[in-house]
Amino acid sequence: MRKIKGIDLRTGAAFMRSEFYNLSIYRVSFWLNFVYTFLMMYSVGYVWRALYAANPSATGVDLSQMISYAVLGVALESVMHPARGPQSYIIEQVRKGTIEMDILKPIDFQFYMFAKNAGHMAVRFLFLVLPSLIAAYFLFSLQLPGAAELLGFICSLLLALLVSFYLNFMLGLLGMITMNIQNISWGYNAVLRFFSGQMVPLWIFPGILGVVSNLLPFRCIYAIPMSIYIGNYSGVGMLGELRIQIIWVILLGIASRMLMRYVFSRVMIQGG
Amino acid sequence: MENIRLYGGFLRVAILGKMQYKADFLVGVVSVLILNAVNLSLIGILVYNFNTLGNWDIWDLLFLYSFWMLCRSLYGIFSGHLSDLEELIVSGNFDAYLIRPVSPFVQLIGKDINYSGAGDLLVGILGFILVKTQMDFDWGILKWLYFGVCVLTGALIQVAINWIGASLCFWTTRSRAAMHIAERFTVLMQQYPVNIFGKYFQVFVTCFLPVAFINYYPSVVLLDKTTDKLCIWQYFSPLVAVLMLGIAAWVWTKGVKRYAGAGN
Repeated sequence: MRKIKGIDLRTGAAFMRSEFYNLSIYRVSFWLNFVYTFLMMYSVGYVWRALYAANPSATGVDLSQMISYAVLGVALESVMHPARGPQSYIIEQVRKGTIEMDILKPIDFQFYMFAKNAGHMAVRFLFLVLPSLIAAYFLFSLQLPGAAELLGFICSLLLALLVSFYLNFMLGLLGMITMNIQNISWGYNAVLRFFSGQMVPLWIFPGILGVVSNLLPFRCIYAIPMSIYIGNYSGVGMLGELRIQIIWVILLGIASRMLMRYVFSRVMIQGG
Repeated sequence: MENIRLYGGFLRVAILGKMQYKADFLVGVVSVLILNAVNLSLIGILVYNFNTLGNWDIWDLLFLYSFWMLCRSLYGIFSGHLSDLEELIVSGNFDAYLIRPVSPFVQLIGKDINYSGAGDLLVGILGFILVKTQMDFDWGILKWLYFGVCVLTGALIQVAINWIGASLCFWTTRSRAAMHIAERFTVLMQQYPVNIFGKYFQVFVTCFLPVAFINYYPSVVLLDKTTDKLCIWQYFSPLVAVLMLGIAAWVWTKGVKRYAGAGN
């Protein structure tokens, strides 16, 4: 097995597996989540239907595209909601005082968190998102994308997962210094919900809000993959959006490494 | 009445405890304000683009939202910590409540007070004032009275739902996940007029999880949105509140009797 500075794929896979078993224990909470996801899809679909009834041409896309966008937003949120990010694990370990055990493991800390998180997301995707999307396809007339869009969507979604991971990871690192991220997370969740286009598409944002949302990384998480899915970008436009995501992945990757080094040096001094 | 006196005492202690953390109070209120600003702006952007939602315009929707904020702040400040019951039961600390000669419910409800509700209250009042200046409705004394009663009963319905949710962990030990989901669902429901969600949904939030009685039905009555069909249950909010509290108290009593402590 290849080993680069504590990044070991087999160890990563093992963490993913254990996370998988961890999650599959809680059956009741799984069914509750399923019902919840379903209700949310149903209700956002109706909100758009009511809005379109008054003014069908306000967003520039037709109703079935808009409903697909909204349903997808609900589905992706149940995987990528910040509450499921690595920061909740990190802050819990910080509070228990056992975070050193995680840092001292002979595996790169960021990679370890990523593997854990990826396992968590894979389980939720397979058992929660996929079934509810299939149900949505039959019940809410979810649109299927063409081959090019589907390929673009999958690439874009993987990049979105990375952007989301890096942002959450940095929030967790902050938690190591501030010891409490409850209130910061609230603010972060709210800003994310607003500027990511998860509920309301960014292209209908008026004036300055639209400009601001374009400059922030949050739209890489929901707006770009979802817009590609419903066919809002094609050809060169799609590649351009993917390039924006890649740039953010690189920037946030570097930033999170730097932040990790800084935080660890502080934590080591504190620990003594 | 001894219980009420004790509840006052508990609250005084809780407030004194909270006063220790002034910075936390401010950050909490600010984050609630941001959260509400985001919710309202999203609705605002939608209505800005589409003009109306069903037959509700932007001010009607703001009325609906402010109404909910008023209910929610009352509920949140005094009983937002009902979900702590799970932790009390899992950790075994609930046993301590049972051996004290005070009703366990009074102890649970009086153990904390949540300042973040103050942010909701602020949003509710500001929103309501804004709507009042824009719509300039002319209410008689009766409507004002009904408004006051409905804010109170809306809060009580939410208390009852969460009280039932929390009591479930006497049976299941874990209930936070379910309450969390019910909460997020309620948040979505209260932002939009219920009638846009179709008939089945309306039945669901009227009969099974009666969140429509928190702010939707009172707003329908107060804003004169009643259709020609006579729907008597629009006026039922106070009744539903009493009923729900009754059910909640019954479930709670059953649960406490059943409680045998965690472990062993």
